[in-house]
Amino acid sequence: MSQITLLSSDNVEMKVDKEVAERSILIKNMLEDVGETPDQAIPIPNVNEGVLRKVIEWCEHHRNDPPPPADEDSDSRKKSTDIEEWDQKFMQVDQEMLFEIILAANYLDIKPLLDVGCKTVANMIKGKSPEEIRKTFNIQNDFTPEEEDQIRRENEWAEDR
Amino acid sequence: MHIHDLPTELHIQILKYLPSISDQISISLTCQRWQSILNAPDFQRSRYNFLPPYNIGIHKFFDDTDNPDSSESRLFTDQFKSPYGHEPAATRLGCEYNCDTGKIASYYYLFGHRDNNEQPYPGIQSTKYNISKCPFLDEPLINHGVGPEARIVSFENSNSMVVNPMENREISRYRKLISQDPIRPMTVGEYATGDCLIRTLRMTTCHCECQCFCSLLYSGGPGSFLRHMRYGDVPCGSELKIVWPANLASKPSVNATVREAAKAAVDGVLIEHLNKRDAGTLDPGYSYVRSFGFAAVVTAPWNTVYYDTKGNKSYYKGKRECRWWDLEGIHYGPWKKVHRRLPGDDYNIQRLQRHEGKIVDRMETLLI
Repeated sequence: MSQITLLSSDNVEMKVDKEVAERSILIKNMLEDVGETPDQAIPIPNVNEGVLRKVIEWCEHHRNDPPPPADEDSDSRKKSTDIEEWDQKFMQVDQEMLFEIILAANYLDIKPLLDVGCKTVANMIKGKSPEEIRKTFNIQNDFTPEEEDQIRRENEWAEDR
Repeated sequence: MHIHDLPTELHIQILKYLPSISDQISISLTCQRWQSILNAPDFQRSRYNFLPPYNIGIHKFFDDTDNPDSSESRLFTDQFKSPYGHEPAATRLGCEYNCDTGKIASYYYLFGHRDNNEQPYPGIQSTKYNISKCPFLDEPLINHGVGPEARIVSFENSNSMVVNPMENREISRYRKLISQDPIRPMTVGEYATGDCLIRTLRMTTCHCECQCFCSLLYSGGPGSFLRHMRYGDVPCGSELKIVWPANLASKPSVNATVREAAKAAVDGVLIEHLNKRDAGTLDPGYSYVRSFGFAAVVTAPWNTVYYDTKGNKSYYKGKRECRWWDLEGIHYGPWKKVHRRLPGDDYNIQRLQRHEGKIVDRMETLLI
């Protein structure tokens, strides 16, 4: 089994099986372009060590998964937010790490991991009121009183007619 | 790292996993960024359930019962419906208004969420939430334009013409409509039964001089023949009642779900009265037909709330009622003169069948 070396944004080298690294379409295409297993470390400039280790952990576990169906975009809305048990446990991290994983999965083009991450966030939103959602993600309420006035003015206009 | 540090494309991906209307309402009221994401056409489409084969979208505000993605709606369907016996979605959106002035004070939405500890109906926990600022209130309740290949075609004798159902820009804003006229007078109509007459309505109460019936056809897709729409899933003889946008107040409709009413409306069982002042110009011996696009919407039953003289909030305990509102943007065709038919009650099914039902493809005016 050939191995390759990845270099995180904070200059930490990690050896991984080529097969595992190729869960990332970005790396897979890169390796195909090079044509042979490179001797030098492949830099992953957008992902730091901690996140990269997490991502590799996921890829290790899912190394034998079948490739995702090609036209997954059309039914993405229909898909449920169910997540398999191992992935659920894997995603039990703080929000900071969760968003980092999502960004890394997006950058490295690991669609199934990105889906799991997005579903995890979606599940944190599901069934909550706006206040609860804001509290969960520490989101500012950025609706200004002017907007409320706007709505009221529009109603007045309708009433006058 | 904050959730807003993610690029918008990832926000979109996340929010696409939340198609249920209750989640979308919450999301739209959370922050401006999410609200603008949900205003995108893709998301707007996701807020409609389409009635096959018509491709008429009904806003999930009113028709969230058969959305398989929404666990809450299943919850309401399975458990909320049977004990109380009313349309589950109808309990969702409501408004509170001041009885003296008729002005809407606020809109609310009943969110259902599961609470397994509660007995005897586990899972029913509903929270009333003020959604007066939710932008979805401005979206059309019934949307023709968003489904693929949806268009209304009306017949004027042999010439068919396409009637644009409603231009989006012409659709009235729901909030405006309601604040305009919360309780609009209306009368009740009901279906005649039978294959050929299925599109024809009979007025139960009408003091007007004439009645017009209209039938709208849908094209079945590119290259296909225009075909009749049928009420495949509405059994003959069902006690379906449809509200009419008549000028005369009678009693409000009951028992019609929005889905049924929308079907009826789309299939052209809407009525248009000739004004009395027009009557002088009508030639005796002729009927007058007129086609039109789409005329009105029906709301789900409202739970009426009012304030008594001491300012206490009360609820009308009686039945929930559907309400009807006219919409702007109705496309009327010109009046057309046709030979007068026999009096309306002598509607001859066999004669119609000889014409393969084509006669009811036109809107018919009966001068009584």
